[in-house]
Amino acid sequence: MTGQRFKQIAKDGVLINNPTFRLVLGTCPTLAISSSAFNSLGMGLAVTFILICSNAIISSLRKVIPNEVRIPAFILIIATFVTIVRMFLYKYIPDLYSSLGVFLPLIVVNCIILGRAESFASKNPVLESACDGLFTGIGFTLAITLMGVFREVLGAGTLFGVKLWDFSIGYFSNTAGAFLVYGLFIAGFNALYEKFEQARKTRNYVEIMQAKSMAGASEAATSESKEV
Amino acid sequence: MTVKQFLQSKIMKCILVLLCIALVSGGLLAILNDLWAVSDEEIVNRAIKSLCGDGITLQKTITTEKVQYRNGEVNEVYLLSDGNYLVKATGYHGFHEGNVSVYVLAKFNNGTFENIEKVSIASYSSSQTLMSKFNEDALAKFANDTNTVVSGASSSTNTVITGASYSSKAVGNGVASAKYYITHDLKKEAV
Repeated sequence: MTGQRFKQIAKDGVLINNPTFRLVLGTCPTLAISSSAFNSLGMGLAVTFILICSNAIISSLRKVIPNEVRIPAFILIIATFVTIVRMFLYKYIPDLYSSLGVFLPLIVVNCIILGRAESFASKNPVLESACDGLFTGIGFTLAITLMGVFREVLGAGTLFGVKLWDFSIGYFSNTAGAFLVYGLFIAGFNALYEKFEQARKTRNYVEIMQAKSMAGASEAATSESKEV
Repeated sequence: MTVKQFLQSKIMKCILVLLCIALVSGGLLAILNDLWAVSDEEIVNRAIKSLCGDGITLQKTITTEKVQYRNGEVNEVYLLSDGNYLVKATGYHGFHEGNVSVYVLAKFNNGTFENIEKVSIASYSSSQTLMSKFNEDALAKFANDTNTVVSGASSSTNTVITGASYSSKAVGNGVASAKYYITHDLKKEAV
């Protein structure tokens, strides 16, 4: 895998195709878990681990799994890693295990994981697929943690469980608040993305025009010297 | 289709691939399940830590035999190092007739029962979908509910969490069963 390809996968996973804010995938855990920053980070890391492992395994088996049974096979592989994560959390981080509750086993049907397996891992080599899993996971983790921080600070006056102040707006902790915050974050992220994209296009356009004018100047100089 | 044709067919390949994945996954999960198994003792210690904080330990197991009442049952009873009791009880008649198991911390003063200090959820059947409503504040209501009916651990309590009334009933039945056991069936010599 070239450095250019690696950069492209990283940019795709975290920014251009950010699963939460650009593709609006994995909405269910995003809305339900993001009331606390610690839970959000835990969910993000769990999904990232499952994405890396499932992408790598699915990619390595992509020539063996018949097309007709690819979805059941993907689900089997994803469910295995979800169960591993469940067992690990129950043993070593029981608080997080009970906080994530039913949303932990529901990772099996998370659209982000099945989506990346179907659209990327089943068509690309192992290393690239694992990188795609890593960066898509980072994109999801950053998004859900950012929302978790916002909702926890405003909704409970705490950050990662540490009390900041007595002021809190309960609305941000409940479901309606989750929808509002999610909408605001999607709008903000897309506005920023469009701005950067516009700036990038303008920069490219200026560079092309400069290159053209330089090429035109050098052509004119060549023809002048020929005439002389 | 002959047997040989079937064995060479795509259907056979699909079955074999899925079977192989399932077998490898199953083997891996069996090994990890054995490695990361959480013992019953560890589960009780976690409950003690979450209800009493650090420093309190399990002193004696009073019983692990089920004591059944009309609307609930007591599953396990433990004496703690500070003289209080931890009771694991299960309340019946939750949503879709599901059950909810609770840990109940009973405060004792010089061997006399004073009150229910804290309640936490131990486990619940899958039909109880609104258990996230039972946070620490909600469970404190069950502990402080003086109206909890203890007679024969029958129908439980006036405490209801909005939107989860059936699950509330099961939690209440669990707490009532624990309370009934403590006040009636906990052997004097154990106290």
